[in-house]
Amino acid sequence: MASKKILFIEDENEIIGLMRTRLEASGYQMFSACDGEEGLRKVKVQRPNLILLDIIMPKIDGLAVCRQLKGDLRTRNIPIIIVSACGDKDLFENCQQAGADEVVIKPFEAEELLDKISKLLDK
Amino acid sequence: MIYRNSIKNKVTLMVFLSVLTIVVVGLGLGSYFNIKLLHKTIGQNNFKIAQLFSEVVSGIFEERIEALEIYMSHSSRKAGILKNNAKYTGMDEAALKDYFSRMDKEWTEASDDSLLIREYLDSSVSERLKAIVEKDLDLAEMFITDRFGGLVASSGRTSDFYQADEKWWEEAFDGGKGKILIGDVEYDESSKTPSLPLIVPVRAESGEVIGISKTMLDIKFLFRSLEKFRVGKTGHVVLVNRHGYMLFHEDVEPLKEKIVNEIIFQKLIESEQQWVIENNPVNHKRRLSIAYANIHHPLFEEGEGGWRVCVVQDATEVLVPLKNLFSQFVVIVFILLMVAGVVAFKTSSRFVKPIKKLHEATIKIGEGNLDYKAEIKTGDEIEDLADSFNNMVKDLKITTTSIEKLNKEIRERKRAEMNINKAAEVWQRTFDSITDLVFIQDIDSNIVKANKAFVTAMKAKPEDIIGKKCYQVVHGGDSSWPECPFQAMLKDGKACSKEIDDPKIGIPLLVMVSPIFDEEGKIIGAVHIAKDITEHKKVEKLKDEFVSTVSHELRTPLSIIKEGVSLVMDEIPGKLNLKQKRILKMSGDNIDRLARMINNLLDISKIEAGKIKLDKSIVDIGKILKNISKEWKLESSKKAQKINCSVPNVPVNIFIDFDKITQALDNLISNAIKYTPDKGQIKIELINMEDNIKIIISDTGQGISKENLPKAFNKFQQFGRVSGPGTKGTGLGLAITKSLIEEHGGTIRIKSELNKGTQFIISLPKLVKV
Repeated sequence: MASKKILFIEDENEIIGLMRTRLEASGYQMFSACDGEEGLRKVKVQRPNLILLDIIMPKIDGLAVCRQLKGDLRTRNIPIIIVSACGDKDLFENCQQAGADEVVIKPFEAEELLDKISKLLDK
Repeated sequence: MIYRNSIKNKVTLMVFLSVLTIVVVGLGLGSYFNIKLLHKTIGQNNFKIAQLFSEVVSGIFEERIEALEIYMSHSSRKAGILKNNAKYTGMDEAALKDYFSRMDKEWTEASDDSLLIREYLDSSVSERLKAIVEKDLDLAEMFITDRFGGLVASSGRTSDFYQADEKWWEEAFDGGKGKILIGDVEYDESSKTPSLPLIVPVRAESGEVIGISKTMLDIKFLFRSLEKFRVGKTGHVVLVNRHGYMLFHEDVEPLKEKIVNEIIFQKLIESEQQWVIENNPVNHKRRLSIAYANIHHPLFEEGEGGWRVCVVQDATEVLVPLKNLFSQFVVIVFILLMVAGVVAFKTSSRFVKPIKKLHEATIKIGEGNLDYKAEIKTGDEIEDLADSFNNMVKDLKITTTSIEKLNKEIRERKRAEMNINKAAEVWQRTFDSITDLVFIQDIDSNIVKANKAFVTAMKAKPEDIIGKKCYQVVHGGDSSWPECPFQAMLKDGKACSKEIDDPKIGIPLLVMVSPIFDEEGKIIGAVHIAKDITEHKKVEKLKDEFVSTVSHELRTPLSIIKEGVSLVMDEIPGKLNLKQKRILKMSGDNIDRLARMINNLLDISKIEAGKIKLDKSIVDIGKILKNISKEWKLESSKKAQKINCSVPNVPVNIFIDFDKITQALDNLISNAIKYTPDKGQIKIELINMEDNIKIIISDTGQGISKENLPKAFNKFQQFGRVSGPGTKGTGLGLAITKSLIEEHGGTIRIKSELNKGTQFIISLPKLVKV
């Protein structure tokens, strides 16, 4: 079985690098995009099995990306986990409204994130 | 005071005129009758004098006749006559006639010295007659005829010898009967003597008429007594004949002039009272009083008689008594008028005096001296008037006093009103100066009052707002706005505030509604104070943004650190020795601590901003407690602590925000574990009550000192900080817990004893029936 492709749309390079290590260690294949625009493009090209999405990004923010993807028939089935540093109550609501499947607040427990990823991919 | 028509003058004039009228009428009438009477009688005196003089004249004649009769009766005279008569014896009528005409002729032709004349004039009888005439001044001439008319004797030469052809002779002879006769007055031009013939028959002893005597009486002498008589100064006696010619008047030739003119004379004669007062144009040329009296003598009543005695006097003199009377009248009238004037003046003064007094009283009272009394004791209508006046003043004083009182009251009321108005103005000004939007509504949501800010914010005029329903004005709706805090306020009667952001208003507002009560404590309305919180909102938004930005900016690097450490710890990049692992573990714990700190800070800032939102649902609180204690079981077992969680067997459902209450309870339990030493005991107890639940979390920890206990829920307050490994607190936990519980309408209390343990007692309303 080919490893699952995870797209991490995030403007912070360091966390992308760390996450790549973590995910590849867990047997996932990870791509990254450094802003919303690129993220959307890569979703079409790479066809990821799951998307990790930051909110605050240049060009198009994460919530917009999420809404767009969930509004597109071709991409609506791709699970999206929002990984954001702005952890307040509104965030959960906003994410839910945008159609995100899960929310993880930075700093997150790697275990918790992997747990959520595997659960979503198992569905 | 000078009056054009003062009462005094009027009364004076009236009294004066009354007295004048009475005096004039009385005196006038009196005088009129008096004068009339006087007028009637004024000539009476003169008439009486005239009467008297007529008697005198009669007497004089009588006397004269008597004297003449005596003279003639003397025998010598008779003898002489008889001698003559004897001559005619035997002579017939023709002879007689012849004799007499011859004698007459001879007599007239003869000179005075002739024998014939002398024979007669020098006879003894003639001598005697002459002597008598000379002696008696009254007599001018005397002669005697015989019974046929022939001259017997004479005092002087007669013009004729034969006298029987004379009328007087015939009348006196009267056919032999004899009659005394007075002839007409004759005026002798030569002697300028008026004389009156008195013819007396001479009788014999037998009474037979033997001859006739004729005597000329000198009127001047005869009436000299009259001449001397004077009535007053101008009155004198005049003898007139029947035609009015004066027979005798001083200095006037007899029979030449009439006493008065014919008209007046006729008037006099016809006058009843026999006197007149007339202007006499003929004589005297003056106003005269003329009275007359007929001489009542038989001799004057026939023949040449008809003499009258007139008394003529100056009318002025006659009228002197009248004049005197008039003068007296004038004097009396004058005196009476003086008296009347004085009386009138005095009377009017008496009349006017009380009126003046009353006038003074009115002036004094007019000047405001209402205690002044007009003292008038005249006992008449004026006293009555003064009494009424005094009573009126008394009433006026009462009225004035009450009016003054009333005025004072009115002034006070006005002042009070002004104060009220001023206060109202001040209030309105103050009200309008409030920058918040304020309006007052009654219980039926009608706007009673609104301040300027409100009116301006509503973009309306006050009249479009007052009396309208507040929800119509503010929200443009037809019924109460459901979110209006007024409804909430009505429930418990307490002021209620709420932030509202009605798009119809356009600005965010903090609305506070406070009830207005009446005396009985019933809500009759409410004051709405709406604060424009646009700026506040902006600041809040900025703060929110700041907080979220800061937390984002903190969390991002923290997540990199955490993930980095985590990767190394998970030995993905490579194996670690124990020492390395321990060091990384320490880093990882503090990364978590920092993350918790960030989360707590965010929480507390949200709580403090009141931005916490409860997402309530019905949950079994017992289950929550069990789960938490289960989660902490591992941790507590590490410290050999005993966790005892006793909850009822049946679910205890309450209506809460699951996450928030979990967070609060988790915090308390984690604290208990953290601050309880090894082998300590933690006890969690849930008590289900009627309307609420009670959770008691006790530990056997180090406890908190009494002085620190009140600060237990303060921020960044940490007691019993433990050293060594283990989870470190942020110092915000209890503050957050307390806020969360209170946000649910619950309470949290702390009981603690140093070195013995701490107990938290939480009470939460159920808000749902089980």
